[in-house]
Amino acid sequence: MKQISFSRRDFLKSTAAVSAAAVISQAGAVYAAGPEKIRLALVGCGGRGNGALSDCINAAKYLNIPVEIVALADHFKDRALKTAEQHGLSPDICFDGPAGYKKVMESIADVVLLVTPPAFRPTQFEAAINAGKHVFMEKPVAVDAPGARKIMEVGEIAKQKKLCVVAGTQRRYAANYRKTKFAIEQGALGPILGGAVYWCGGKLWHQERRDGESDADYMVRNWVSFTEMSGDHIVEQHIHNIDIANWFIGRTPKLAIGFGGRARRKTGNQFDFFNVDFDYDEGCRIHSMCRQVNGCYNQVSELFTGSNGTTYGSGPVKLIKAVDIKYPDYEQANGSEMVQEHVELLRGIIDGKPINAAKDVAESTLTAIMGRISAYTGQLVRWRDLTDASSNSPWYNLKLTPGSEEFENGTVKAPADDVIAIPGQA
Amino acid sequence: MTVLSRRDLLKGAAAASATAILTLNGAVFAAGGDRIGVALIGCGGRGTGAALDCLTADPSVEIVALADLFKDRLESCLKQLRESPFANRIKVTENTCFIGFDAYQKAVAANQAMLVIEACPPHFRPLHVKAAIEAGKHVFMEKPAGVDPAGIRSLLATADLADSKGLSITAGTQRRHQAHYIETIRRIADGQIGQIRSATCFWNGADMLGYWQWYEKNNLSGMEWQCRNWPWYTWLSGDHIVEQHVHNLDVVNWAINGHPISAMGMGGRQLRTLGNIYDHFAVDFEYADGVRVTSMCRQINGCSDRVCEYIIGTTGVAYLDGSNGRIEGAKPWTFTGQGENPYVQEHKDLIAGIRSGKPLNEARHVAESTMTAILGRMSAYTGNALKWDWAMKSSKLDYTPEKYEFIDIPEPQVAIPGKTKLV
Repeated sequence: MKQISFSRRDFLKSTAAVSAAAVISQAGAVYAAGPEKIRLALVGCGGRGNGALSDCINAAKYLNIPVEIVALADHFKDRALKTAEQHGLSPDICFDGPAGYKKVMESIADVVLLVTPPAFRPTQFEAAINAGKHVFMEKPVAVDAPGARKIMEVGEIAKQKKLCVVAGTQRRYAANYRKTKFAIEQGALGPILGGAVYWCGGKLWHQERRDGESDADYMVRNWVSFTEMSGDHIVEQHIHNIDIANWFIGRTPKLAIGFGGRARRKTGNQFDFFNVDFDYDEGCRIHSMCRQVNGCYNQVSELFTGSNGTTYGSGPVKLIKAVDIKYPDYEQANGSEMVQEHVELLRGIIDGKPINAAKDVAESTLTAIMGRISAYTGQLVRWRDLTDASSNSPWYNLKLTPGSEEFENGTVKAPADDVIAIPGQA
Repeated sequence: MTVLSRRDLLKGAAAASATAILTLNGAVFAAGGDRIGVALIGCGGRGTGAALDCLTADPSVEIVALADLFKDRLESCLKQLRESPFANRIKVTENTCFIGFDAYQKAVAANQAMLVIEACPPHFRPLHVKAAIEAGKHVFMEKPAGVDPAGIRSLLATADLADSKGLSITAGTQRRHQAHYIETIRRIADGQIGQIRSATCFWNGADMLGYWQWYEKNNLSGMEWQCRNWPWYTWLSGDHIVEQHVHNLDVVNWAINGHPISAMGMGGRQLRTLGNIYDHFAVDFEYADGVRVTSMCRQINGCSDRVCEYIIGTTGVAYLDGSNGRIEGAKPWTFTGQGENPYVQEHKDLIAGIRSGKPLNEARHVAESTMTAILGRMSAYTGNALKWDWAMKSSKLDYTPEKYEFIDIPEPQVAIPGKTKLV
């Protein structure tokens, strides 16, 4: 491990003095000459945000790259301060409130980790790319079709700006999943002709509203209970498995027919189970199943049936007629795909070979959104309803509110708890 | 009537071995002109329809006995039959009309009947079909074959008994008698879509209130109220995944030529407030060799409806619905032939089987398809994933009430996944 030659405090003191513009040009210069350090910022200091920060620091250690944390933001001040404290950092680098992320974009950070509730991702991603930051962003990346399309658009700008974009759909960085993908690409499994993807598990946490709490604060604290914040659990959690279907099949579904309901949930307005028939055309249909209900059968996996055999997403590939597959060795830093994704992000920055996952993760987010809209409304939903303005679909411009805009201008009105979508009446 | 009276025939049959019966039946029908006496158990809309279909199927058919739980239902059925073009073949008398929970026993014992049409709520099917076969009658039974594993086990035993006695059990899964289904499945069996690797089937349609009457409680006993509103109660109908969606699951099992080995299902009540059934289900079934089947059924108004089956093979996809069958892929094909009304054709096939001495016994098929749906429902209700073998051999689920009498019984609860116990 290479020693960092300057103290954290010195670094922060000096960076505080420089302007954002200066930082960007400086950053470019640094890389051209070989990086000395990479400066990190985190937006969203909850459990996953702190986890992502650790993963990134571990990835840097793995690569022997010095990193510095230069800015932290969270809706709640105490969350940001806690993260600062954990890393022995000054409270001065902490920002809070719905616009706190803007301060982060003005910082000298090279890489910004975007780990707030998904509703905020498109706006924050755009701000990060506009500010010339490399980005790690958690999944999902939007809660509605306009948001997902925004991610795709901004992802293209990131490409032009040669910025790295990595998303937290970490199975794409797991050695076992990559082996399965390899076998599929080699044709061993044959065309995928069916399958099922599952995230069936227990309920997540939920938060009751506190006395006197603002709607905005309540929604952020209880964000995994509100569709407007999380996209509902089919989007927020099950995207992982849907992402594997899109990745392995190599395209997005054309149609979705989904069901869902709310059997046991207490707060917010989400369903707690979904089933979607995703029609990928060419005779390939995938059944997506997700549930957050305690006391039920749990399964988190992806299962595919090809013309020559079957496989789980993580393997092994079981063939009807065995073929010898010579798998490459896939790197998995510290044995963790969640570290590996940051390794590839940092390596892309250092090597000047930016990788860009914006389109993939936006498509998988949108696939899950398509399933949710179908389940909420009871209607068949086409991919083009969400991606092609000429479809004249009411869902094309359907924007969930409150969103970034309402949070930033202080007009958040929380939806009623326990009032949910009724299929056939939406 | 022919030289051999029905009574003689039955008397003789009771004494003779199974083989002898076959020959005898064959001989009788070969001679032609004999009457086929039919006892109808279950005089609701479908029962009346099935009787009319049977009358349409063959001029030898006569309706000789009626049985129902309720007098008003029996009377409206009889009126409809007597006002039909087949009025002269309605040979029902006061003495052959039976009412109540034991009416079926009297109907299957009616001497004039050689064929029993069983069209009661599915709960009663295994019991009634068993009684009919034990009484030596051929059977046409509506789908589904039952509502619980105990009933399915009973029906499978009855299927064996029917075979040993040379009797028919034809089922109301009419797609098996529908020309475009038969031809498409034949082509699948012929390898025209390669090996089957997956399938998806749907019955996504409207709420039952659009086509079934809901009776208000008023002063009805709990038992009568539930029996009259049978489609809405799991113990009576099996829930709509069993009662209705069995059609599509039957097509999938038929195409695959097997039944699932496991199921994981979900479902719930988004809008329904009546009875205790769900209004939507989705099930992931695993069959042998990694074949996966998605089943979806919904009864909610105002949604995207579809009722069809997709069978996906290594070289093509077969698409089937009520009006068409086609194959896309390496050997594209679309059905262009003409088909008979399948609801009549199933009775023609049944009667042809009786006449030729080769009785058509579909009980195992429909029992397996019904069990497929029951497996999905049990999984959705409890939140458990289930194995076929466990459910068939070890499940103790049996919805038989303590007593069949018109008393007040509690309103059954709606299942809650994760809380409702698997039995």
